[in-house]
Amino acid sequence: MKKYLILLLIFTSHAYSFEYPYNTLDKSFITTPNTEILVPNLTPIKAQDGVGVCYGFTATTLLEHYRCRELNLDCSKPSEVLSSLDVTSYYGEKKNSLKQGGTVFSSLTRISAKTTTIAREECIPFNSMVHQMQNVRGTKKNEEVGWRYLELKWQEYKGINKAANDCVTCLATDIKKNIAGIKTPAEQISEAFSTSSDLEEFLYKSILPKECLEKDKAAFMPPFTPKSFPDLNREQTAIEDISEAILVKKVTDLLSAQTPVEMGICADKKWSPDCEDNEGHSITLVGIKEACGKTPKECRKMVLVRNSYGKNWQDRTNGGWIDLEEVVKSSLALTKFRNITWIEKAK
Amino acid sequence: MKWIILLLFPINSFSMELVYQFDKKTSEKIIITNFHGMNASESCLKSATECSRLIDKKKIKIAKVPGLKGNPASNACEEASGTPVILKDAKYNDYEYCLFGKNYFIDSWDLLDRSKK
Repeated sequence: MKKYLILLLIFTSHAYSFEYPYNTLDKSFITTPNTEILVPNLTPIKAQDGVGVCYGFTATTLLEHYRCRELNLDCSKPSEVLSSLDVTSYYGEKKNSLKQGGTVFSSLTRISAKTTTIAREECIPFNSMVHQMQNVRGTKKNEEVGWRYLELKWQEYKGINKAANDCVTCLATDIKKNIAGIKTPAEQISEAFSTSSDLEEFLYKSILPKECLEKDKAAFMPPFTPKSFPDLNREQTAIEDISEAILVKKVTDLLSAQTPVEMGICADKKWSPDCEDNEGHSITLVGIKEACGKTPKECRKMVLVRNSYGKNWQDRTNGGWIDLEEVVKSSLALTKFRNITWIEKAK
Repeated sequence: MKWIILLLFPINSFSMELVYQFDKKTSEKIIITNFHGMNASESCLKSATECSRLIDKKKIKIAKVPGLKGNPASNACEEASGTPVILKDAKYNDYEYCLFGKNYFIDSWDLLDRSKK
């Protein structure tokens, strides 16, 4: 009987060691006292749904934390949450477009140079732009709701003969009728059709109501300087030169100073060298600690990952505590965008 | 022997309340509970639908939909013919759930997990 019980306990104690590409803290490891450092005052955990804008979410987390720290605000309040869609719109070469796939450093660089305000999430809720916006729940195909419905309507717009039959207003009315929570006025959506040169621009113009971007409604963003390692502005360090140890040290230094860090990682669970571009993913690191197994040799540095995969991802990955070495390895597996990004006070 | 049975099949008292924000004005509370290792709405457990059928399955087979981006759990939901939705807790944290029919929710990460077993 005892043997069965012991076997059962051994089995259950290691049940949390691996999940997807993230190596979580094994339950047999115990946090070393006084080693845990957490980035304080963060906004609630977000979810990106099926839209490829992870970079917009991590950039938003960095901005929110910096803003709350500088202006002494309580970031747990929903009113302090910034619009991930507005932040995402700064990535492209031309402002005013919503692009799937991008980098945090480029987005932050453009924001710091071009604006002092960011729209609030309350005004442009991301939820309302994904699958949430079905007027009759569960009766529509996924292609016919939210973001994808706008894509469909853009394709439809491109196909109509505008000279013979000006049906742009009909398309805008369809969107207003079909997407229950859209706040953009029908006139703005009509204008978005006729003034956009591509889908990304149309998405931006139709999703973000102009009034949400006005200075009195948007949130003030204190001046900041985006930083990256390797320094993407100076390119002093060739990407090939970065070793695992150097990256671990840099991340440790930043988190020890309670500075949140964005990191590009390979989301492919194989984490093989030369991770394909489309497997890239952006995460935010918001804490660090040491955890040890039975002998000192088993001590590991763990980082607290804040993912844009929802709170249920955090809950199933031991709150988000991941082996730092594994995270760094997955970052170095990327063929490009192998860098970390953070925000510093503007000089 | 009773001990072993209890350890293998613990009575799970997990329950939490999430909010489904249907649109700006309309929202409803969803009671989530754990059944057979999957978090799902109570309505799903009680129903005789695709939702409860998925919970009872030890392994879920889902067809890969090409071209999907973003959260892998959200994509798994679509591949299982559900609709990904974002629910919120009292502290405004987001949760990725999968909607079946009009009122049945399963944790999208549990769905992805079950498809990989």
